Amino acid sequence: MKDFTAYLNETEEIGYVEQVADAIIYVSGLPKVKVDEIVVFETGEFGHVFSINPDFVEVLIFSKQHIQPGTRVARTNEVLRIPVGSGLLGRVINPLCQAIDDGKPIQGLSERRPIHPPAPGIIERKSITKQFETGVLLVDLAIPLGHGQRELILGERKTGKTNFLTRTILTQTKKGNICVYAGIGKKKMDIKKVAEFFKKEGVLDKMVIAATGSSDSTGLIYLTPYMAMTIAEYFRDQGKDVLLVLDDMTSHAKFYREIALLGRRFPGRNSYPSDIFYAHAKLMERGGNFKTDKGEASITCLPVAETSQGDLSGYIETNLMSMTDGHLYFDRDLFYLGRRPAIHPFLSVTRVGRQTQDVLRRELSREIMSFLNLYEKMQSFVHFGAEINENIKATLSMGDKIIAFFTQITPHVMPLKLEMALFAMFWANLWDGKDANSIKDEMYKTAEAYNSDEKIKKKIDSLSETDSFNKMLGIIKQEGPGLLKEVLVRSGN
Amino acid sequence: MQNNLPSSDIFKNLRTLKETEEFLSQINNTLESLFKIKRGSFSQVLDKNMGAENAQILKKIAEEKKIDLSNHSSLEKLLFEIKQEISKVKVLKLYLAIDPTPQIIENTSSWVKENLGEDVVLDIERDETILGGAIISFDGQYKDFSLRKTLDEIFKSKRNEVFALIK
Repeated sequence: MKDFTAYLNETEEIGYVEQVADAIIYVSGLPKVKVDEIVVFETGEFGHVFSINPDFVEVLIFSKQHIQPGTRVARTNEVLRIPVGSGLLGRVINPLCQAIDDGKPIQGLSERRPIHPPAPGIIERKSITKQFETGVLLVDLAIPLGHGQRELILGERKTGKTNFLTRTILTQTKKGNICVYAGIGKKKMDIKKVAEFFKKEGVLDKMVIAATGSSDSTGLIYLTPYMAMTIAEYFRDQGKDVLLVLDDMTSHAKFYREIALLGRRFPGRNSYPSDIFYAHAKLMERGGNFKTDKGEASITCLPVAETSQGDLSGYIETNLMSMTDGHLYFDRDLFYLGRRPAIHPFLSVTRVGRQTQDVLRRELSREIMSFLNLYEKMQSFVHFGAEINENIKATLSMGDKIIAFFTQITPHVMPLKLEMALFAMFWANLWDGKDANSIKDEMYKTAEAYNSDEKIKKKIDSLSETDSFNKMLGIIKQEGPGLLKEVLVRSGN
Repeated sequence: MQNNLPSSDIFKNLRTLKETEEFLSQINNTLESLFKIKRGSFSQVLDKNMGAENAQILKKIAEEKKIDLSNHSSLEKLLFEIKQEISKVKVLKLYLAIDPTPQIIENTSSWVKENLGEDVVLDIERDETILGGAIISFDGQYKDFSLRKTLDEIFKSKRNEVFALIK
């Protein structure tokens, strides 16, 4: 960027700061300024034109530096563009693509992209056909997602949403896909912990962490998800499948509300501005599955929304639900019961994930959901305290085991074929008579063997090469015991 | 500027922003004094706060609008209206390398009022770094006619010659 005087001489227009209201600066003058244009102050700061009125221009400033009334302002005749490139991988950056980790200055930024481009039209899009693996058994088997889906992660504080996201990011990065994590107004310590965790797991070089702290300026926090989406679009255009995590959109809405109220917008429901839906919808629409010059590529978007006291009918939450292709609801009660992840299978929805499943997976998914439904109904009998018959006892026992089966505490990455094989082994009663801990132990040993032994991996993968779940169960009953024995021998039992 | 007041006489006397601010301050003082005076001594207050020339203009306006000088409410309303009109002046900012003489200010102000409107006042600031010429800023437009800019442009265009000389 050039300096203030250069822009002043170039554009021959000047403005003066009339009023300062925290993140919004009211500037008089600048007769030909455009919305979304960048303006530069004579103190060196720059801002983004938020709105234009007959008497003044509202500028959203990106710095916490105090600007004096009377300060001169010049137009730049440019919209906000951020530098993007492969040099961003492995780095922690702010919305202006400046490094905020301890590394060297960022190199390899080959192009500049606008932060608010229009969403691609219908022609550039493709149907979602490929399943998106999260590495979480319950989601991959029962509530499947697709590459290019926008799935809302919804739940209260401390219900395991971040653990789920971490596992998903690990799964995707280990498959070679790019992940962009946007931390919106988070604590700086939390951002550092996230970066260190992924560095320790050895996947940080496949990620970009775009973060703003809660002490950063409101203007900068507001830009974070849009900038993260722009970076995701860059990697999509390189032909890569990208996972974009927006953590979290309810905070983003609150910061946008603050900006709007400072800008004297008329407060709507819950004092949010009337365009809060548009602010989020224009972002979500940029996700999806696309045709690019380098082939099919997708941006799978996982926005996070924090509910309050389990209220799913909140304004921002319902807005986000309506603009995404489903939601995963993290139930506080299930969390307290020890379920990990605490995803409520009946309150969670996937609108697009099922079309990515083949016949086998669809049958598997249907089997799981119908059994869980039965289990829920059976649970109500227990409350009556009456005598329960053997069938109900067996169902309840199986249900408890299924819940234990789906409980994942350690961050083991589970590829989809492995998940399917494990579930089929479980359903075929290969672990009959064993307690939950032993089952879990043998499952993890199988997972380790799958990840390290090519022969075992091939055998397990071949189990899911059938076109029906019943056939798969038949094969498992024959070959499963031998396979399990091989795994246990390999692990020294 | 829509104007129900014959305030063009006031604007004629206001050449610079400083004079405008002074005039507004005088009006504020007069407003404060308005309800402290005894009946019939508004004229004395005006003379005391505004100076002879401005006081005369205000009395003339009051006469033209048929306002009784002993009717304090009407006088207050009139002064508020004048204050509002004066607050809407447009400012032409001038950066000069020198402190302008009263003659320069008078000539410049006359030209500005004749060509840009009577409600335009000057805000002249001294900036020695421009070396000469002027920088003009008005209604959001900015034009740099300074000697500094001219010299910068000359040096830019003759850069190669300058390097050749140094080598």
